Amino acid sequence: MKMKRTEAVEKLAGMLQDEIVLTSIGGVNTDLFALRDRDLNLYVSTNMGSAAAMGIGLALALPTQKVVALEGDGSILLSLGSLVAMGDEQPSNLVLIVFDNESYESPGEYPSATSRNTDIEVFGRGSGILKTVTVRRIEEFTKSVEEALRENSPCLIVAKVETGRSPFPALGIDGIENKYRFMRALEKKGLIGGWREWDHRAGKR
Amino acid sequence: MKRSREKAERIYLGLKEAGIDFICHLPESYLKEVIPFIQKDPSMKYIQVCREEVGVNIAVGALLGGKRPAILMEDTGIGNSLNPLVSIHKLWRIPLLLVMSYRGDVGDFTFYTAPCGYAKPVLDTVGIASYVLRTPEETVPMIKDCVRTMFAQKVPVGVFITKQVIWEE
Repeated sequence: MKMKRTEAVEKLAGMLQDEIVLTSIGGVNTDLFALRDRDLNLYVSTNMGSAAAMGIGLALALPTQKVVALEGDGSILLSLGSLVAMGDEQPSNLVLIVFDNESYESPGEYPSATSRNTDIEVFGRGSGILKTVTVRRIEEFTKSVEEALRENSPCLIVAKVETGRSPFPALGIDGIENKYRFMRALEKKGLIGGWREWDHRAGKR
Repeated sequence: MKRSREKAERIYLGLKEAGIDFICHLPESYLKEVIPFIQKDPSMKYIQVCREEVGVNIAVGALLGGKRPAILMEDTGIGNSLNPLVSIHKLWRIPLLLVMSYRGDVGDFTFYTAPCGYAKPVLDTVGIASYVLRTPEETVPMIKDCVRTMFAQKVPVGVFITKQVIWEE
């Protein structure tokens, strides 16, 4: 039996330490927000197909910081060029997890291309991502995430999951609040100079 | 027609003096001579992308990670990247410098670009400020002004590279 996405997100949430986590639009947002909201989470709730690429940018900007990006099959299919950039740049601190429920579930469970002929793991390998895996059972998922979090090379995990909406209420944070909270957390960790530095430099003639 | 290395260097210097340190690029023909300056500069991270939308998204992550990003592309890239520019950059108030060749403008020598382009009116429509560079003398100060405003207001800002500021006469 396939695993449920919410169950997989719960396992992942339990494993997190100080990783940055980005979630794409859809149920994974509300799952993680309800199960383990934290300052280093970025809920990319306003645009489909952005989370993986934003994760690449963060991983490249902060090479000592582990970054985990969570996508769906629909959102990664919308932005396959993100896989190309990941394979091209090889950010060794980036783990991309695609929850593949083989459907556009939010707008009404339309089967997606991955329910037919398309294989996201193969796209990843074709893009130059060397560590790739497709998992179907929750034990495999947990094991592959544990390994990927320890790995020092870019990893792609395609987690085949059942369809099933998030049981939790809607996301309770918008992009602006999330952005400031996230950047303040990076500032506290000493990873970035943050907004104050920008304001100073912006004001300088 | 020949590209001017001297004019290209002005664009690079504008970026440099504005503190831009993270550059996504989708190759196009106007900005070709700018790229080697960037690639030779160890303080600038250079990333080639295969679609403008991907570069614009990568730039959000870089910005949140403390970088000062720009994307270099043809202005038609606006068509491929408008969704995140509006739904992430505008909604979340994320700075990004859009450096775009201004195709179809006076001086363009090709028949295959849309006359007058469409990127400028599209940016106007969605409320993203942009500036059209007309003389090489204004390249450095105006790029710096664009970057100053993009960080002060935390918004994307566009700068259009016309034929006059990158090609020889």
